[in-house]
Amino acid sequence: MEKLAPAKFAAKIRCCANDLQDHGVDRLGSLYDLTAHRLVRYAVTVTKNMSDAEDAIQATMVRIAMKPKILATAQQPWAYLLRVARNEALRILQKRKPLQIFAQCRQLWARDSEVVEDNDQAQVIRQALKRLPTNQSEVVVLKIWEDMTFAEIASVLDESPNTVASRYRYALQKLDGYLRPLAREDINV
Amino acid sequence: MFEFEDHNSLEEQLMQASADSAIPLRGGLRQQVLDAARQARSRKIYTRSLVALGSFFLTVTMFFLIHDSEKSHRVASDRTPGWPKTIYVKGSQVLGISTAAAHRPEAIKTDWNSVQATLKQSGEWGLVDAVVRFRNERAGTIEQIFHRGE
Repeated sequence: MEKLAPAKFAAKIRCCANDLQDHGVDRLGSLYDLTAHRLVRYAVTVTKNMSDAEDAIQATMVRIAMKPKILATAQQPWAYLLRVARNEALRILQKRKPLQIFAQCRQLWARDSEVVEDNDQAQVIRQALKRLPTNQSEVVVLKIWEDMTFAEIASVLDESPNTVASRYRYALQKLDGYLRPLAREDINV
Repeated sequence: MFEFEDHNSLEEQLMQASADSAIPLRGGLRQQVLDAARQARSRKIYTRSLVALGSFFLTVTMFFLIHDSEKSHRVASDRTPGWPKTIYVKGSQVLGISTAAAHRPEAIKTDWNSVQATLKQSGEWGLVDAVVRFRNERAGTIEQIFHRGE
């Protein structure tokens, strides 16, 4: 995944939105290619599973395709897009609420028996992020992987920057707790 | 694998992992998204057309309803020669005859035959029928009906 500077990335999104506005839905592909991988990475932290995250991305893209002007004129197009994706992800979770208890039980069981066979660092971190509460893991993803400021994250999550900052601090403490034992194991091996 | 002296190093580790954190998307998802967007657009166009058509029919219906209600309180011309009163009708039903004083100086013929003849002359065939029905339903001359307040 090519990592663009935030300003350049925002400019590209705006360009795609303008293109979408001028030429219609057929130009949605370029916006999808530009943002889908990063959006799904964030959506997974909200939905905790891939298929719901993909559904959220589809709903996001359709929503944007219907009203591209809002994205084209948004002050922070990437933050806006993330917010739409988050809302869609939460909507999907809301629809699946009756099945959620079962899913949570399954997740807890999976967590206990979770063995990280793959020693890949990204995989380990992803697993550790999954163990965090959603509101903390999404702050970490937005702060570190999306390189956003606390103010920008606050606008995506509709929270105050102070709340976001404290969630980030708690998340790092917990991640530290999860990952440090793994680091020790590694040293001992 | 991990080394933690403080949270800064943890942030660095997370940052390093970000390069490898790409989640592979399902192969057909792109096409599925594009199809869904096209369908949503068609649905939007269809809904808009339906709303526009509905509004058009509503406007036309309202127009005709208003037009008909204006027409239904038709007033027979009191300028018809030999007939000084105004006949208020709704459709083919006579609602009443005006009680306004005659403002015609010439002699007025108020017998039924003159009234019918006048209406026939002016081509108000609907009114002729209505007047005949009005007459059949009531007894007496026009003057008597008028004085009785019918």
